[in-house]
Parts: sequence; C-alpha cells; structure tokens
Amino acid sequence: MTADKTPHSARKVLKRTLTWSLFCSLASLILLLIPFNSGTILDLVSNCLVATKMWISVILIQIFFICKSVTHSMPGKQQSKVGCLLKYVAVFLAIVTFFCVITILFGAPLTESRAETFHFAVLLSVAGTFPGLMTCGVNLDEWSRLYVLSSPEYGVEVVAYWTSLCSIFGAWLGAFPIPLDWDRPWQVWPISCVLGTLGGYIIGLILSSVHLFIKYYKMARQKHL
Amino acid sequence: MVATMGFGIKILATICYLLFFYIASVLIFTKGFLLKRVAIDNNSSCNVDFARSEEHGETGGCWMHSTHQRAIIVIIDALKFEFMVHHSDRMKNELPYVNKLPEIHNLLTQKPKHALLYKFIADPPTTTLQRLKGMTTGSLPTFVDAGSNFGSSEITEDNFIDQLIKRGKKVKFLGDDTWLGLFPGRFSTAFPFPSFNVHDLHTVDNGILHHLYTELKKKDWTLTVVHFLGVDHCGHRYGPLHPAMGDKLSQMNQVIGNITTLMEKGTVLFVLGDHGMTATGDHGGESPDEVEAGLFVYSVDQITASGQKHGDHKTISQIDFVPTISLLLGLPIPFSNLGQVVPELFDHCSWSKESHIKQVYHRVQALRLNALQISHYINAYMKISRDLPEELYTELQLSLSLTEDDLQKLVTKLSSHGKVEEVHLKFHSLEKRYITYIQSVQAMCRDVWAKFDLGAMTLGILTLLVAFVLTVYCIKISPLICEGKFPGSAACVFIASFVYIVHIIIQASFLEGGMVLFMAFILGLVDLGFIGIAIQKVHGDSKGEKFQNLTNRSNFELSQSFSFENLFNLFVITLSMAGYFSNSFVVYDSSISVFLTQTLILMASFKTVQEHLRTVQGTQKEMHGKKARTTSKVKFSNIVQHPVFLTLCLTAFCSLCICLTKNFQACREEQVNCINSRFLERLINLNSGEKNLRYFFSIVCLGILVLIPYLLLKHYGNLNGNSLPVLCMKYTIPLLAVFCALHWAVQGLPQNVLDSMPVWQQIVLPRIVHVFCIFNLLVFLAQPLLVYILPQNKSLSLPYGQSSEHLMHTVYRHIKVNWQDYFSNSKDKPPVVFGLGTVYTSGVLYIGTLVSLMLCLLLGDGMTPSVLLGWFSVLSFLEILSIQMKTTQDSRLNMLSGVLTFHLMTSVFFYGTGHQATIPSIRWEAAFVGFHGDFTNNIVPAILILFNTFAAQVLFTVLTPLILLWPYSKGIISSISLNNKTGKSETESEWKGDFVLFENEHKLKGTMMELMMYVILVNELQVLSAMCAATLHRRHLMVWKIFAPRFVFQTVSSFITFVTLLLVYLVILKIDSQLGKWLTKLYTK
Repeated sequence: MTADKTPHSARKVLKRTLTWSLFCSLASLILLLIPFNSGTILDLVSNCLVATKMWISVILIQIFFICKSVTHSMPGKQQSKVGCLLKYVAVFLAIVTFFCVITILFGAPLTESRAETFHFAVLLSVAGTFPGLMTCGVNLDEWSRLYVLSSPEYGVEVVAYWTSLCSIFGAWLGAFPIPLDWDRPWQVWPISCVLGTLGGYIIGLILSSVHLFIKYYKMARQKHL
Repeated sequence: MVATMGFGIKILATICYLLFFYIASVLIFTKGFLLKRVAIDNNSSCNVDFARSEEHGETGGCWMHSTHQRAIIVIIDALKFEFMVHHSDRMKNELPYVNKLPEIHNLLTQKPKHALLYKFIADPPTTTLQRLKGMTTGSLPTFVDAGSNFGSSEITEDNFIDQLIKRGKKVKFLGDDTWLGLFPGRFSTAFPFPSFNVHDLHTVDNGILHHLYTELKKKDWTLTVVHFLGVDHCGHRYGPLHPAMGDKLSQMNQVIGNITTLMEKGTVLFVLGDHGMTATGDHGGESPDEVEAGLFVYSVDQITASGQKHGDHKTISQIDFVPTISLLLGLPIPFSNLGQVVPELFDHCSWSKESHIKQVYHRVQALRLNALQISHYINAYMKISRDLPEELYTELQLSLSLTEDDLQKLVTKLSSHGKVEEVHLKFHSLEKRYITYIQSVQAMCRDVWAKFDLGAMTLGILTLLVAFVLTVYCIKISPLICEGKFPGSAACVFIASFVYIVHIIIQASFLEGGMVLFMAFILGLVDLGFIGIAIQKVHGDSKGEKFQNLTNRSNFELSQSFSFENLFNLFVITLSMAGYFSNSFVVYDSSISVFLTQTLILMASFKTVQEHLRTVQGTQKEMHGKKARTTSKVKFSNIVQHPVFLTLCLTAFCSLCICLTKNFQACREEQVNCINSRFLERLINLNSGEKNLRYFFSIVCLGILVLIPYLLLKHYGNLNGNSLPVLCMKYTIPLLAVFCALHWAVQGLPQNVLDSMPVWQQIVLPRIVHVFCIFNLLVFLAQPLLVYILPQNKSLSLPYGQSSEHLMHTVYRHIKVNWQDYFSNSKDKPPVVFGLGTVYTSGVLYIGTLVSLMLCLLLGDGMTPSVLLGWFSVLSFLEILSIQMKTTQDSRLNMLSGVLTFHLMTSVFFYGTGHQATIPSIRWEAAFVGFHGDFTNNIVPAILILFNTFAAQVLFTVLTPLILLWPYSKGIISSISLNNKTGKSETESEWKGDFVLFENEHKLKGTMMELMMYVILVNELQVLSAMCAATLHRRHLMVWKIFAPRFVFQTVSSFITFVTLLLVYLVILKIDSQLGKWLTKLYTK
C-alpha cells in the first residue's frame, strides 16, 4: 500500500484519524442518547424533522473535520474552487435524488410525509456517501475502487468505507420495527430508519477506529521488529 | 440415450419422493393442528318421535312445557367469574374489581330460589366471535367448519335465535356489531355499535343504555340480547386491577339492578360473560383466568326447587347454556348442540308443585330430551364423517337405548304401584345415566375436535425436517450427477428415509400415542443424523475429487459458495421466514416481501457490477501493468453498451416493476389505513370514464404480454417454418388474447344487459380460451421442438447468411464438427437449423405464454397489468443474472441467488395479484370464468379458484428453469454488453445457446435437479417456519385469524409450486428426449 512508503507519516495519519473517529463516535453517541425522549428540539421522536436537520449538519461537520485534519486539501485541486464546489453540489444532489427514489422503491409512502422522506434521504446520503465524496471526490474509478471492490487505503478511506457501509445497513435494518404492533412513537416512518442510520454511522466510526487501531498496532510492532 | 433417460426418471422419482414426504408431513401436521368438524345444516323441528310435538295449555312450547315466555340475555364481554362472586374476606376487598356487583349477591341471598350463579367455563379460543358461535349453537369451536360458508362469518348451523325466528318470535338486539355479522337480518330491532376501537370504553355501553330501557318496556319481543363491551375494553386498556374497572363494573351493577326491577312475570334474565381475562386484561388462550366466566340466572318467578347453598357455585360449560335456554323458552334444542341442560333449572314446575316425584321426572325428562337430541346429532354426524371413534360411539348408543328402556319401564310401573322412595331412587339413577351419556359424548367430541395433537404436530415437523435434509442431500449429489455418477450412499439414504416414512404413515393412520410415537421420534432423529453424515461424506468426496482435478477451482468454488452475497441472501430469506413468527409481520407481509425483494435485486446488481469491475481490473492489470488506466473518450454508445450501465438500468426497471405491484394489493382487515386497490373492483362497478380507461389499459397490457414472448422467440429464430406449434404461437395466441379482451368487454356490460344475454353467450368466450390454451399445450407436447431446418438447396450456397444476420444466431456448428466426415463425403453444407440454440428456452417461454394467458383470464382484466409486471421483472432480473454469469463465466454460483429472488418475487406477486393470506380475501368470482354457476361437482370451481389464488406461484414456477437456461441463451440486452466486450464475429460463431446443455448428456439433468432442489428447499423451509410458528402460537389470540391461514396458504402454495415444477420438468425431459430422436433422424438422413 502507499502508506508503507513513508511509515512515519502514515502512522501519524492513522493515529490522527483514529483519535478523530473515536472522538466523533463518542460525541455522536452522547448527542444521540441525551436528548432521547426528552421532548426537546433535539429529540428525534418528537421533533423528527428538526432533529434530522441537526444531525445532518453534525455529521457534515464531523466528516469534514476528520478529512480536513488529515489531508489538508480537498481533492480535485486542479480546478477552480467555484467550479469544483458546483460539481460537488451537483453530485450530492444527484445522490440525494437517488436515495429518495430508492427509499420510495423500498416502500416509503409516495404521497404522504414527503418532507420526512426527503430529510431521511439527505441524512442517508450525508452519512452514507459524503465520506466517500470527501475522500474520492467525483472520480468514478476511485469510488468503484473504494466501495465496489472494497479496498480502502489506510487512513480516512477506512472511515469513509465503514461509515458508509454501516449507515446504509443501519438504515435498512431500521425499517424492520415499523410494521410491529408495539404502538411506540418511534415506529413511525422515518424515525426508526433515521435512528438506524445514526446507529450505523456511530458503529461505523467505532469499527473504523478498531480497524485503524489494529493496523496501527501491527505497524508499531513491525517497527519494533 | 437409455442411460440419460434413466437419469431423468431417477430424478423424477426423487422429486416425487420428496413431494410424497412433503404431503405426508403436512397431512400429519394438519391432523394435529387444524381442528375440523363438519358443520351439519340440519335444523331441529318440533315434530320428533321422542318428544311431544305441539304446544298445549297456556304455557306453550314444544318438546317441553316452556317455563318462561321471555328472556333477556345480558352479555358483559369478559365478565370473569371472580367479578361476580361475593368475596367476604377483607384482604381481597382492596382490589378494584372485587364485590363491585352487589346486586347479584343481594338477589342470590334474598331470593335463593329465583337466582342462581354458575361458574361458566368457555372453550378456548376465548375470543368473542368464537364464543358467540358456541353460545348460540352449542357446538365446539374448530378452525374449519367444513361445509359452512367461508365467505362470511354468518352462522349456518342450527341455533336458538333461528329457532325463535322460525316460530315467529321477535328478537331484539343491542350492542356489539359482531352479532349482526353472525345473524344478518334476523333481529326485528337492532342497535349495533362498532366493536373495533378498544380504547373507547363508553361509546358502546352508553349507546346501549340510551335505548335499552325504552326497548325493554315495549314488550314486543321474546328475546332481547344486550352485549356490553366496556369491561372487555377496560381490561384490554387498563387491565383488571385499574380503578376504571371498578367504575365500569359498578355501572354494570346499576344496569343489572335496573333490568331486574323492570322485569315482569314469565321473564328470565341471564347475565353472562363470554370469556374471562388474564391479569393483564387479555384473552384468547386457555388459562383458567381466561376460560372462567360467570353466568347469573334470575327470574321473578321461582325457577328452582333445590336452590344453591350459599357460596357453593356449580361449574357448567358454556355450551350448556344453549339447551337450557331452549327448553326454558319451549323451543326445540338446536340440532348440533352438545351442551347439557342445567338440571336445577328444570326441577320446579309451577303446575305440579305438590309432587316431588313429578319434579324429579321433569328434570329427567329435560335430560332425556337433551340426550336424545345429542344422539340424533351424533348419528347424523357419523353418517357424513369418520372423525369419531366407532367403537366408543356404538357403546354409548347402546347405553342410551338401555336407559331409554329402563325409563319406559319405570314410567309404566309408576302408574301401577308407587313406592315413592324406590321410584325416587330409580329416577335419580336414571338422571345420572343420562348425564353420564351426555358427558361422555361431549368428552368424545372434545377429544376429537377441540384438542391440538402435539404429538402429531411434532411428528409433522420432524418429517418435514427429514425431507429438508433429504433435499440438501440431493443438492449435494447433483454435481456428481452432472458428471454421470450416482453416489453409493444414495441407496442407503433412500432406504433409511423410506423406513421412516412408512413407519410414520402407519403410526399416523393406524396407531395412537404411546411407545410407538416415541419410536417414531427416535427413528426420525436417527434418520436426520444418518442423512447428515451422508451429506458430509458426499461433500467430502466431491471436495476430494476436485482437489485431484482442479485444486484452484475447488478452492475458488468453496469460497464462493460461502461468499458474502450468498450469506447475505440467506440472511434476507431467514428474515422473511422469521417474520412468520410475528403476527404484525404476517399482516404486513405484502410490504415486507417487496422490501426484501428490492434488497435482493439490488444485491444481485451490486454483485454483477462488482464482478465486472473485478474482471476489468484483472484484464487491465494483465494488459497494461499496474498503472494503466483507460481514459478512453466517453462515447454515448459506449456508455449505453457498458455492462455496468446496462445492469443499473435493468435494476432500476426491475425494482420499479416490483414497486408498482403495490398498486394491485388487496387489504386484510388487520391492516389499518389501507385502501383496496382500484384494480380489484369489478369492471362493471366502475363509472364509465374509469371503466373505459381501465379496460383499454388492460388490453394494452395483455397485448404487450402476448407480444413479448413472440418477439423473443422470433429473435431467437424459433418461429420459422410451418410446424403446428409455430403456427399456434403466431396466430392462435394473439387470437386468444382477443377473445380474452372480448370476454372482459362482455363482463363490463351493465348488469341488466348481461343478465338478458343467453347463458352460452356469456360463457362461450372464456371457454374458447380455456380449450384452445389446453389444445396449444397438447400440440406443443406432441411437437416440442421449435426448430426449423433450412431445406438443403444446392443453388443457395449461403442461405440468408449475410443478409439477415439476426436470423443466423443459430448456425449449427456442433453438427458441423461432429459429422464433418459424413457431410464432407456428400459434399453438403452442414444443415442450417434455426432456433436450436434456444430449444429449451423457447419451450419454457411458449408454455409460460400459454399459462400467463390463462391466468390473465382467471385473474380478470384488473390484474393483467400485474402479470405483465411479473414478466417484466422476471426478464430484467434474468438479464442481470446473465450479465453476471457472462462476466464470471460460472453458472453454478448465481443459482441460489436466482432461486431466492424468484421465491421472494413469487410472494410479491401473490400479493400483487390482489390476494392476501386470509380466507375472506379469496376471490370466489374466479369460479365463474367460463361457467355459469351450474356446477355438478366442486372440482372445476376449486381448480379455478386455486389457480386464481396461486397464479403467481404457477407463473413463476413455470419460468423458473429460465434461471438456468437464460444465461446460455443470450438475452437481448446482455448480448449488447457482450458484443461490446468481446469481438462480434467470435461470439456469433461460438455461440451454442442452451444446446450446450445437451452436449453433455448429464449436465442438463444435474443442473436442473440442483435448481429444482433449491426451489423445493426454499419452499420446505418456508412451510417449516409456518408450521413452527403455528405450533408456537397455537394458543395465540390471533391463531385462527393470522397464523393458521398463513400456514394453510403456505402449504397449498408450496404444493402447487412442487406440482408445477414437476410438470415443467416433465416438459423439459420431453424436449430433451425429442431432441435426441430428432438428432438421430438428422444423422441418418
């Protein structure tokens, strides 16, 4: 791997990413659990839309910081900043539309609660593809290497890989409690799916830190040997 | 060729054997699980030989003197016995429900000969509907009352309400609207209130109270039924320990007080609970808390001579209420009653107060009538069914006739000389004998009708498990069959399983319980272990062999069979089966199967893209080293032809088709906020604009449906020449579609126009379609090869070779290679055969077309778009699979994912054709397609309804072989991507289509066997989980509404799948053997 060429800086990158992802997972966990069932604005159950908006921004900031802390430069630096940004926004919008369509295909109501579906799609694309967007840019080959062939480079890409995978899987699992007849307020579409996405996101962060830690440990041992 | 046929028949026998196993296990399970009883629609009449027929005196009544002229039945839903009985100890006084009905206690203590309290034991399931049935007919509850009307819950068996109506009496009703469903149109006055909202404690009760007293005062009734729901709802919402329960019971106490003050002479009041409740307020099961309800009887007149000791309350069964109220009101006891009269209520006769003997005689007389009525019922029942044990029956009947004789003797002696003491004693002994008779008949029937046979149920599950393991074994040996070998362990496995199944069948049909059952279990478990070892061995053998041959490949295969994709697919299927254990998942199965199918389709497409990128990466590495990255110019045609792009488009299309089926779904009653699809409405009921729109939409869909297979077959070159099946495909099928459309047009006519048409005009069109579809099938079976040999014309050197390239897909290279010598002698060109490359595929498509045409006719015009969606999703999914196979070059891998997706799609389209797994949602109108209701037997309508209900299963099973065949026969879309990838000329000449399966004489059979075994495996798993869910939830509140119908539908659906699979396999065998004959003929020519 490319990381092996410069072991020192690679280890530094690993360490930084690891601490950041651990920190972010802890912060998200606290943010998720403290306002739960409190009835405040941040409570997902009583204020789904507002809380989802809040979470979208939280995840955006977290991922931005994780990536920024390591790379210091956005991918696609050849082009002008504005054009680059526009490109990213366009791709992101396309992804949001894609997730909207997928959600509806999987059985979300078409006519009612459109705002909820949209918010969920935005959250899912932020948690599921924004990390990829930050690391791979708009390069299709990079995307296919990361996600389809699942060979992330050590560093931020591990975080991107695990968070995306776990968020989407969590969103998928989150749909299962909806038909149950428990009459709980969080069984309403899309709260359980949002919860699943967030849970998946946090688990993804934790998994990536574990993954990075193992890698770090191995590298450290190699150095000693 | 003989060896090949041998293998084919062996596989056929294997499948039949598995089918046999399946049927045996299901029947054994059903025997233990589904309580069934034949409902007899006979009614009791006044004119019977054992009782006086006409009413006489001012008391009136037939069979017996009526002691009361009017009755009030107050049903307080979930009125537990504990609520009614008086508790004297202080400790219990704290509880909110204790001593809240003091009115009952007061009456019992003040007028002990006017009021009686009983512990009233309900038969499980303790749900209101079942209880009301039991309480009016006196019969025991069962799942299937065969013979009664499935469509509605209306009671068709004899009951005391009907007896009253028949005698011209008026019945009034207030309360729970369940009664109106059971007795539509019987009540002279009715004030029904909806019972649905459990959270609403007061609407029903207050609604009743608003009318009750004025209605009671009117005196224009013989029976008034009042059904309060408040206590039940309060229990469901708060449980019995909540203060609200106390308030509710106090209100009921007030009601009882008011009614008793309003009552006049000759009126009897029954206050009763239909069932009890648990500590949490629920009911439905068979725990003592749930079955112990209470019955309170009160009359202004004296009703009993003996009375009750204080605090000593007798226990009676709920069905005992039926004969009691019948005889009290002077009605014949309902025909199918099994209850026993309450003797205390018959020992007081107002007209013969003085004689104690007469009182006893009166009581014995009531019991005697009761016993004779039961004996009549059992006689009638024995005539039509063999459920009841014969020996016990004759014994009981004998004892009854002996009792009758003794009674006659006693009565004749009574007139001659009367030693009071002795006669009295004799009467008492007679009374006991009657009671014993009634109770033993009850016990006999209860044994047969109202008990789950856990032994049989477990045995059924075990048998299915053995069948399941056998199927796994068959899957494991199928690669060996591909190589033309039959493993030695097969015979042992066969013998072991055969011994087991024979034992099981003997056990289930002739022996009962005890050691033998235990033996069966031991045998089954041993069998399981044995077959498990055999599987291990076969697995090890094949692995070892492969290690010798192709070490790398075997490793690759092993890792692939446990690949992430397969594991994930299995996980999804497991989820769908685990859903059977949850009532809400069963209720919303329609949405859940759509969700899971979408997941599987996305997974398959992801896998395809992944495989493609992997191979591309691999080739790029080989070609350009590590760093090369093809940054070729983006051309539109390149993008369109790119396999990834094609896969994504196909996935989107397939997902869309699956999603659109939601528009065709029906609702089951448990689904809240659900609206039935407009497509389910009959054409006749729509307004004209919508009618035309839908009609033409359906016709367009039907047209496309017929067009697709036609175009496909034409593309493959199967429609050349003038053979009969080709002509059928070309001309009859479109014609039949037209007939189908005309039939719908006729059905869409206004009702009066339709009725004025002669019968033959109404039924001729669908009959033509039925007959011609079957005719076409027969034609195809007679001539199953849709191939065409171009006549050998010497002047035409390269026939159509360059001009029409797409017809030349099927240049027959194989023969050129094998018979080159022979043909080179005669200096001939190799024969040019059209359609040989798709010889199997075309057969499946042909049959699929015919079947879907018939299904469209049965499903009606509204569901035709759904069938079309089914075809679309199948074809697009197959294209995804074939792209995947072309990139991986291995057909074995995608079989499991294909079968699983097909299975889930089947379930999607089961719901997508307007069905639900409930009995009310069966679409009975399908029985009248091509028939006018004048059935001489029930077989034809049963088949039609079966095909309508399981249309998805039939269609998808017919198309199942395409999973295997399609990747070979080069779909239209996937071939584009293939052309893009490799050179055009090479694929044209190399392509052999699914004929490649014929080249290796065992390959087709082996792979077909594997495919079919996978289908059987998945279905067996599904039935297994439905069985286990039914066993686990056999005392669940919803077992007869959710789990039992789910089990029944699953069993029938799997059965239909198996049978269809068998038939399709036979067709393929037929094609195969015909192909062999055809080739030898070609060779000799």
